[in-house]
Amino acid sequence: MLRAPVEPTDRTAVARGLQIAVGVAFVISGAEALVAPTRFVQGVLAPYGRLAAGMPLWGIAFVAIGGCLIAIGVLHVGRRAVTATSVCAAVMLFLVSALRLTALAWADAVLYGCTALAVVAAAFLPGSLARTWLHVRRQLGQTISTIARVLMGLALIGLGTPAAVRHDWATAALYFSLGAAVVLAPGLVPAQPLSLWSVRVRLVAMTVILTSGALILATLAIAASAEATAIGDALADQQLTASEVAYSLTDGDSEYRGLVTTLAMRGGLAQLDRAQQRALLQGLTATNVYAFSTYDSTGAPVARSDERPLEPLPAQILLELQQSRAAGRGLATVPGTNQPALFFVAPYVASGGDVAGYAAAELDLEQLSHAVGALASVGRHGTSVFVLDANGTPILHPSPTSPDAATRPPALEPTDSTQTGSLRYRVNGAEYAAAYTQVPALDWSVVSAYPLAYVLAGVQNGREWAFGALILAAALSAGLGLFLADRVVAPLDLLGNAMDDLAAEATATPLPRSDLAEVQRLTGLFAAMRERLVARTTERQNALDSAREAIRVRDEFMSIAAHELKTPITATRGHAQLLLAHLRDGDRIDPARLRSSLERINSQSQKLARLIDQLLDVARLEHGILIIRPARFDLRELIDEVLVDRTDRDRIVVRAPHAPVIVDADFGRLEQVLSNLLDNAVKFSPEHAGVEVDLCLTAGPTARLTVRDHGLGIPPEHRAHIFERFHQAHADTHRSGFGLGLYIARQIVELHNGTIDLESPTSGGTLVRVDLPHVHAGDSSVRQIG
Amino acid sequence: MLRSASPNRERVLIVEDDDGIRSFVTAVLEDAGYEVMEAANGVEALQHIEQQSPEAILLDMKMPVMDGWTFAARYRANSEQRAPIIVMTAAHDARARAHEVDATDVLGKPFDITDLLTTVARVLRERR
Repeated sequence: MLRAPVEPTDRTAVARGLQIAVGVAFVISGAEALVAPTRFVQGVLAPYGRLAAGMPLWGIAFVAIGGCLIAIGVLHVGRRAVTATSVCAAVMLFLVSALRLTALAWADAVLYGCTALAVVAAAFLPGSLARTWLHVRRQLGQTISTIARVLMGLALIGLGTPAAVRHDWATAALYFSLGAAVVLAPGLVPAQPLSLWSVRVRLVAMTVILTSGALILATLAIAASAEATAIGDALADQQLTASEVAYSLTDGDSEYRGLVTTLAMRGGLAQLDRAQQRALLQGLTATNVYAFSTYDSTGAPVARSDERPLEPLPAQILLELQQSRAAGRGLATVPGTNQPALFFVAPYVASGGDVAGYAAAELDLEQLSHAVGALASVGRHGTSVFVLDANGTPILHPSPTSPDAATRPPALEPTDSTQTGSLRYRVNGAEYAAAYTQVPALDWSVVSAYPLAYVLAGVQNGREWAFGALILAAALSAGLGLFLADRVVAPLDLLGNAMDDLAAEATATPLPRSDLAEVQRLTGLFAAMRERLVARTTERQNALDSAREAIRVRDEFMSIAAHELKTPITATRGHAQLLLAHLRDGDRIDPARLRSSLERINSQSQKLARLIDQLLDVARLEHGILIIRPARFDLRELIDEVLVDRTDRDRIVVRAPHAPVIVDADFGRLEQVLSNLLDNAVKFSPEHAGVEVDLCLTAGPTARLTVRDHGLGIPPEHRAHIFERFHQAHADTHRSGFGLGLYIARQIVELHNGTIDLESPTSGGTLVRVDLPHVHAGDSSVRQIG
Repeated sequence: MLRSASPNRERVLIVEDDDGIRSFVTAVLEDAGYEVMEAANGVEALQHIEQQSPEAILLDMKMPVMDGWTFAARYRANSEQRAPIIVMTAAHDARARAHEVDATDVLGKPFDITDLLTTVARVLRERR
């Protein structure tokens, strides 16, 4: 059966790595299920112990899925295999995630769920999709930033509302316009690409916000817990103080009740007259009691231990005593003043059993408050202790002169059944942490209050330090952010500059160095591109230059050729026409003129033939069809042959060895070379100046032929090009020929495997050296001329 | 035809580096009755002119030492010298060459001796 060819999927290395990693984890879990089922049950199935019955199946499923995941991670497999495996793995992972969720193992549940999503993503997020994801992420980022901006704008508008409500229009307008500007900013400013400075600023701002935000949250959390601890400690202390005061009050209450009861039961109080009673009372003393007094059964005063005016027993107290017929207590005033006082009163009975009167111990509340205050001062400095009656009315305040005396706690609910408790309250702008204790025996409550500001002073101090640290951290993170941003942005900036420069055809701008792989990649690519561009441009420029040069050389050659060829033709034709004209006129032609004209015609046509030969030679050389027909001959003979034909041979001095100098060469071609060298030597020398021809043998073995003149020499700027086509070293002073002689000479010598080079001796003139391979004279030599 | 020269011996200066051409042009013009001065380049020509000013100048353009352009410029720079110039050139754009040096006429190489004679005669006639 034919199957469709496997369509390879394009997954990133990260996706493959994830598949392999998750696969390994699956295999390990599966192995655990098979080998150590208990651990597996605890780790994965926890509350569903009964699922453990299928343990081998779980194990096998896990191992199989793991194996498949590893396989798709490692191998090039088709889309279907990847999808199937990933879906199986994801379903299993979601299942386990759900199991862990029901076991309330939140972290595990999230981990498994995320892994499931990652496995799906790895399967369905190939390289191309990864790029799409980048796009989506960008859109998402924009949406988030839009929402954030709108929220910020609305918040600013919200901040302005209170100002508007209190008709502070300037402030309101400021807030409103700021808010509107923030919301509408992108609409007001045309969208522009992010400048690199903007990127820097954003990165720095983000670093600072993240660092500061984290620090602020941490500081707040730490401060909140420190505050809670401090307040808790303070409340515990207050509770202790309140309880102590309550105990003292209870003790004091029973003590004073006992005191007055004892006084009332003193035998015969009823029988004593006013003076006797007074004497008795004056004999008594007790702490905090400023006076003792007695009253009759109607509450009218009988006697006092001090000199204060006699005042009847307050009606409220009398009423209570009549009802209870036992010792009691009540609030009154110090007689003759408005100062509050506390009266402990006990009835005394007559012999008949009826109430005959009352005996009272009077306590100054102010004094009592001082006593309570003394108790409170054992606790924290600054503690205020209040005693409230059943209605919540303050009875005692420990330090009436202190400013805290005015700051009474709010009334406690009298029905509050709890005996102790704590509360925080605010009076006159100051907040207090307070503890209260009810004193059931007295129907009173004791409240011990401590200013919250004192409690939080330590925490506040810590907060100030934290704020300092926050500023420092923000500054440091801004610096760090700038540094990091610069590390990313600066190379991009430099790279951008280099690109701008390249656009302006500057190719030497230094490129940034960065240790960021992506920037390195960009820089590397750009550098390679720039190099290629430069190379290509140079190449093109060179090609263009050489093409232009070729055209220039061709044009110049055309011009030279026209001149050089037409000149001998003009002369030949002119002389021929001159003779013809004379013949037509029937004149007798002067023999001297006839001879002269014919000689001119002859020499000009020879010159023309030489020029045409040169052109033909160049054409042959260019087409590679200049044939060398070598033969073995003596170079001395060549020199002789050349000199024989020259009219200027008297100027030429030849030095040659006695023995033959044999070469395998084309005699005619070498004759051409030597003639050309001698022509040049003569042409560029002063008249009658000597030209030397030297022939010798050198190591190699090489036959060396040199032609040395004492003429103009070759100017340095021409030396490099002297053997090139159409090159004329003295075109300005000696116009003749195509500039092809040395070119042809060199080509011929090189075709003989020889070399030709040129020297400019310091004494002036020119030395041309031709080296040709030498053949031993011992070789059988047959002289042939090709 | 060669004898149809004007009797008052007008002076013609020929400036040409190639002696093959120079010699036949000289012969033709002398046969026609002109007085001919020969110069192998611009420098020599200027030296001749200093001594005797010609009525017409036959000028080759490409010459060593001093070419036709330089010579013409030097010659024109001296306002007294206004003899017509006839350019002899092998260039294919002979008229352009003539225009470059403000020549009166032009002879394209190779030229016939009849052309030479009629041109010189015409130029001298126009000058008169």
